[in-house]
Amino acid sequence: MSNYKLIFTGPTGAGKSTAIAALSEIPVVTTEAKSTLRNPHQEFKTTVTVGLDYGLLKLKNNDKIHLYGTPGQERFDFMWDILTEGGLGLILLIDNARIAPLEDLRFFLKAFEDFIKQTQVAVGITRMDLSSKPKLSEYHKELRKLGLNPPVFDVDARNKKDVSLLLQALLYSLDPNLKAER
Amino acid sequence: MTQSTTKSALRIVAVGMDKPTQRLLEMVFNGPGRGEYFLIEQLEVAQACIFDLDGIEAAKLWANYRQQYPSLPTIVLSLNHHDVAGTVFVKKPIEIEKFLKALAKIKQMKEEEAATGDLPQISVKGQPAHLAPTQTTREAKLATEITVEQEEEALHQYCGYHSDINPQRSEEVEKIYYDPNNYLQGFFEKAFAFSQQLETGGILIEGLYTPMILLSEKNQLLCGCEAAENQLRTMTLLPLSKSSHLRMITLAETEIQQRLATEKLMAQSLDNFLWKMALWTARGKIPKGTDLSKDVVLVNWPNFTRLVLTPHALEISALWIANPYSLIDTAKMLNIPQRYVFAFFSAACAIKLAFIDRRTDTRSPASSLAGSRSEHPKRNLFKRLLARLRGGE
Ligand SMILES: Nc1nc2c(ncn2[C@@H]2O[C@H](COP(=O)(O)OP(=O)(O)O)[C@@H](O)[C@H]2O)c(=O)[nH]1
Ligand SMILES: [Mg+2]
Repeated sequence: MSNYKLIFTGPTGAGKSTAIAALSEIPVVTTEAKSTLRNPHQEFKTTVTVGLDYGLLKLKNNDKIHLYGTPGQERFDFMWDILTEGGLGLILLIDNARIAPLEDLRFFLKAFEDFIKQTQVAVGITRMDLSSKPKLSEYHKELRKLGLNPPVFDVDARNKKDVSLLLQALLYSLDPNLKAER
Repeated sequence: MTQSTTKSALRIVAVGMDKPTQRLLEMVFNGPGRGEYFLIEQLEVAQACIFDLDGIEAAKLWANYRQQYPSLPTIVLSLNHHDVAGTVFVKKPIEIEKFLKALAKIKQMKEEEAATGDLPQISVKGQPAHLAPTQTTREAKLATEITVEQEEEALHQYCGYHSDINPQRSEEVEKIYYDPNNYLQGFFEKAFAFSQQLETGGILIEGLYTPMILLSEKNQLLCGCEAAENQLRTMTLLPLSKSSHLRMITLAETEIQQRLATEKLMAQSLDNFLWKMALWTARGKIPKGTDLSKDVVLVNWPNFTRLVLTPHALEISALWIANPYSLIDTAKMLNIPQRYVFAFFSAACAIKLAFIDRRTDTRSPASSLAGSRSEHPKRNLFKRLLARLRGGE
């Protein structure tokens, strides 16, 4: 039995908890992660508690895929390096109804740059039912500028099939010669 | 239709059918039916009948009809199989070829009847004629076995049945091409390209079974009727002739708003519409002139959560994004039937996501396959995870 992890990230409200719940076999739990934050403007260290979404997918041979959702608050990005260590790949969810979704995209790609280089990313654009712009083509354009061409799907995080397809696309990106075992 | 053909044309009445389907019948009669059939309104003077068994009061209507016209040659249309004695059955969605065969059969019955003065009996399989089952039993069947049946059927409708070809044999290669311009697909691709150039407004297409408006900026297709799917599929297989009076008209924003306010228009995704139309038309073939030995460029991943997903489309996309391959090599690399690669390519071409890179030299298959990527160390894990995701959908 082995353990693996998949990382879900994106701004608050993008649908990370919902997407993890759609895939997870167990009810999603928000784990408390205590961390020591070194505030550059202060001499002291402060301890903060951040909520980390956690879900689980079990495979036939009892291998476990742990699903982690990063805390959306950008000020906790110090945790991201630790969290992604050894991860299989990244699911990035972007909320299309926020003020500047393309900036969100750039921010998260930058923050996870190294992890993406080592693995792959699949991008789900959520809440397109509420805001149809920017269009997917604009996301592709933005990604191309950064030398990336990952799957970008219109995803409703409440729809299991959407989330599943996004994850499948991530797996094929990691290994295009893949075939599901029947 | 010309006067001369009208004279000998078979007068056919449509019963239990909505206007769009009637319009579609007319297009079939005038197009591939070559004017041998003619749609009329009155049952009294009809020489044959096409009866839609899926209408609301279909069973009652059918009983009345059979009582009044017990010997009128009849084609029964339905989504579910109906072996009604003395009728010719055509399953929906209507396949043009099967429908034409049914029409020919009806015509032949008419001719035999004229010759012998007798009513020919067809396909009565020793059982009494039964009327259409009630609405409830039909729904019950729809929910169970029919869905599986239809899924398999849909797969064939999207990808065809062709077996793999040997690219070295020109007589085999010829068979995998189709010309989108001979079908509605070509017309819609032009309309789509045209609408993309508009800054505001859209393109109205007239002459189909229902008016359609293309709004490429919004990725929307506005359409006058709800259940356009079946009719659309039948339409896509109709070879376009000069007699199909299709027109493109530009609409200003205000005109569109006006139509939206006064007509019942349904919006659907324009991408998915064009994608589906290309799949239906191509049925596992590829556009004429596609070079089999040159690399495919996939501009970016299609938005698969909102498009018809054909078999292996995710793998093909991932492969092409990582490394361009020719169509033939792609099938070889992934060890999948060529028709799935062809179907996906044709659909992606229709929405301008894929094209053949004409600059690449024709490579020998061996050299290109040699460059294939090595196995990912976690391939086994991915396989199991994929199986889990597919099974749990
Ligand atoms: N309308 C709409 N709501 C969505 C969509 N995806 C997620 N949501 C909702 O958005 C809200 C925030 O999602 P949540 O998973 O808590 O976001 P998180 O902060 O990233 O964990 C929830 O109420 C979801 O049901 C979408 O595509 N459309
Ligand atoms: Mg959350």
